Amino acid sequence: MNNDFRFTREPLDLQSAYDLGTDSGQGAVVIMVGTVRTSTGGRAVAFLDYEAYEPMALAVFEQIAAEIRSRWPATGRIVVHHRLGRLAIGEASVIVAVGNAHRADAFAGCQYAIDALKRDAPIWKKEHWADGNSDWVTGSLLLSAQG
Amino acid sequence: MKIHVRLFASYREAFERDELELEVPGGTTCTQIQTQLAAEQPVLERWGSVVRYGVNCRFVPPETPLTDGDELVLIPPVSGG
Repeated sequence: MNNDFRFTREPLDLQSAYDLGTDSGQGAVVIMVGTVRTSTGGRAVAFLDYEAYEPMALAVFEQIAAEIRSRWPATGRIVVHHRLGRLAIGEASVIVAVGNAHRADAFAGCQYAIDALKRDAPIWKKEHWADGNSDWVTGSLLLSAQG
Repeated sequence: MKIHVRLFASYREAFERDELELEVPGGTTCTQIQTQLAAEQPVLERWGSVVRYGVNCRFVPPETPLTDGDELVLIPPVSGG
């Protein structure tokens, strides 16, 4: 299937994701790296903690990949490497690499992958604030439900 | 019947454990499990309208009846990436 999905508690390796995401039959590989930012909504973040229901998340990744191949048939390799555990500011939390014969479709497929992952993959992150408090990040679903 | 419930994020913290084994009547639905858990841990009531359900690693509608041996995961709003 040319997919490589994994969770790890070790720092993510961009070169490894690139090597797995590209091959000579593709014209392009688009790589998206998600990183831990220093603040959310103006509030300083100390660190993040990620957890996942790994078997279901991997199944969701497979479904996302199938959808990408359906929409953009020239899709080559698809890589999703996701970090778990405690992450410091600036560290990479996720790397998504999508290859395609054409760059426009590689961009589209990569954007679809990260958007679908954030919407559907059972992965949670807890923001630990600099003031010592913490909150589970609820994403767009709850925010929109609460207006 | 017996079902296995996997707990993550706020559910895990509320119960201070990452899974539960529940003995429930046949035909119990996913939403009924949520109602039962929220009765035990009222802090979870807030998720009632937005929690999603996975049975044996697949998303299912809230009214899905469970069968003996199912593994149910309660999925509060996700935020991966």
